[in-house]
Amino acid sequence: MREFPVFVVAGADRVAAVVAAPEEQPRGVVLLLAGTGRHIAIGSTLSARLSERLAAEGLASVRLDYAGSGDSPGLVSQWDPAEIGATTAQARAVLDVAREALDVKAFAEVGTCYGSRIALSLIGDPSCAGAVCLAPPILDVGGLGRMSRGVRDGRVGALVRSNATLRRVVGAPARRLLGVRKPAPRVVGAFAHLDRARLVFLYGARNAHEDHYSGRAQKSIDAAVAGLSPEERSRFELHMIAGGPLTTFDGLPPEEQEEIVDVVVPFVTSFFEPRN
Amino acid sequence: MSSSRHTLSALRRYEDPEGSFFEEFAERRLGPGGAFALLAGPLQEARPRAWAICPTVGPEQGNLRRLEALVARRLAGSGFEVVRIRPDVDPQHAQISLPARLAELEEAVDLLRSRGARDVGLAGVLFGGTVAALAAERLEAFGLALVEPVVRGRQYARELLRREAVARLMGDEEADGDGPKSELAAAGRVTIRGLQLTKDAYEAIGDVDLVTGLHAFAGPSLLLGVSPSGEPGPALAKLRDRLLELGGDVAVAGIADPLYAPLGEYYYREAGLLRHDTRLELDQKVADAVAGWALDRAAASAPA
Repeated sequence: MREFPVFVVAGADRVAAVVAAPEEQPRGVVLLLAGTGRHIAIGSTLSARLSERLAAEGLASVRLDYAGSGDSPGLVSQWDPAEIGATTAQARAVLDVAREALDVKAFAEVGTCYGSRIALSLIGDPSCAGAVCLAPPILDVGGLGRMSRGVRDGRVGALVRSNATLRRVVGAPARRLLGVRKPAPRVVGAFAHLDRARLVFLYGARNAHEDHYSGRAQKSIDAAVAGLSPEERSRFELHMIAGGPLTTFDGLPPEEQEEIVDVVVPFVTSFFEPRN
Repeated sequence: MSSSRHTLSALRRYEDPEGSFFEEFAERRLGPGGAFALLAGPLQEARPRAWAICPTVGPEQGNLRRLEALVARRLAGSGFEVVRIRPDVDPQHAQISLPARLAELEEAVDLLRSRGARDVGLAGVLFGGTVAALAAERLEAFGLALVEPVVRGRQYARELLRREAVARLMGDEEADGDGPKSELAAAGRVTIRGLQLTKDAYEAIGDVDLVTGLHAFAGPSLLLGVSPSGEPGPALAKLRDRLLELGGDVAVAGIADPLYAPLGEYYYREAGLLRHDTRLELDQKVADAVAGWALDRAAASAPA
């Protein structure tokens, strides 16, 4: 495997990224998109591990630190999976650089948590063969929920939190009313591309709620899948992996990390034409 | 494939005219696992002094990357060439190893000298600062900039085990709080938040004591503490005393920060799916303090 660390311009941003390529001409590029947690390697530990394994399968890959994180310049005070315009542009920019430099058109994606939202937003590209999403958040906090955050973080919220009676009388009902969550449009919208692309959702069975998996999330997925043709439905899979949570990949024991990589790699390689 | 190499090699470097610095991935890789060497430097002629930033050895290195990047860019914008060490995919990078980090640091210093640096200073945060201090004498560093350095390795080694124990308890109700320690004793190795720690590595880290371990370093040093009160802790005072004893010129400074999480820990405040960065301001203050001190030192040693 050959690695090329690069800085790529994306609009007003610039990101540190690593393009990894097999010795031979790659049969596709995989865009590796991390969550927003701590990552020792550029991209993430998962992305770095995947890049090696994918290269052994004849696939190139590219991983990046989003602007304002890790080694990429910039300052970002808040990360919100519902607002991924800038990071999607960054991911698109590094992907384009890798595809052009390696003269490869077909691509696939692996995204974790926040990164899975970016992956889903790019799945509409006709060259995208598919995406594996680890711990994708299915539900978004609605407008009322966002408003409630503002209240909670403000003086009124502080007053309610400081008083046991207010917490019981005001806080609990308000949480039920304002903590409204709804299926994220980007997630639901991604199912429209199953006529062509494949989509895999993976969650860790251990503390699945930390991977954003819940009964409500499952129901939303079921509803999105219900309207698909059998052929389209066959291109979507949801799997629970023993262990996890997948969002904490960096902190998992090496053998568990290896098991997760072992699950992801065959899915990704199956998105592309087999090797000659 | 040679054309792709050419295309991608051209993207190793970028220049920031506003900040008056460049950043560049060096061709050379560092240490036994081949860590990336990420250079930063001024767009104008560099000062004769350069800085190597040494990452810590434990899992907290992921939480310190942004801080190290800011320090590097501030130093570069102030005229210094800087290199920071970035572990990557090699299995050796999944191990907590003091010798590997020392080897990377040595090669990082070589890299700066090969680029024309007359003197090289060493910087680091937490145990990265400890590694820098340990290497200072052998690498003939002209100065040290240490942010909350770990003075006693034994305490840090125990903290690694404690951190893993707490994480296991939080993730699994049946986990044994003494598990990591027992595992290390029985199996000779244990996983600390995804990184392998062997008994030998544990002992090597535990044997570190900067107060007794420094014998000859007499260069200038900055000891920067970070705490809610802004007062440097007692461990820094001990280290200061030792450096003074050796004839060094020691500046001790403190930065006040409420520290939502201890330095090196996961620092995002989570609100549902939103993540708020609680360390943005602190990281910039630390970078400013290090670069400001380095500039002062450069001015003090400049010929009249």
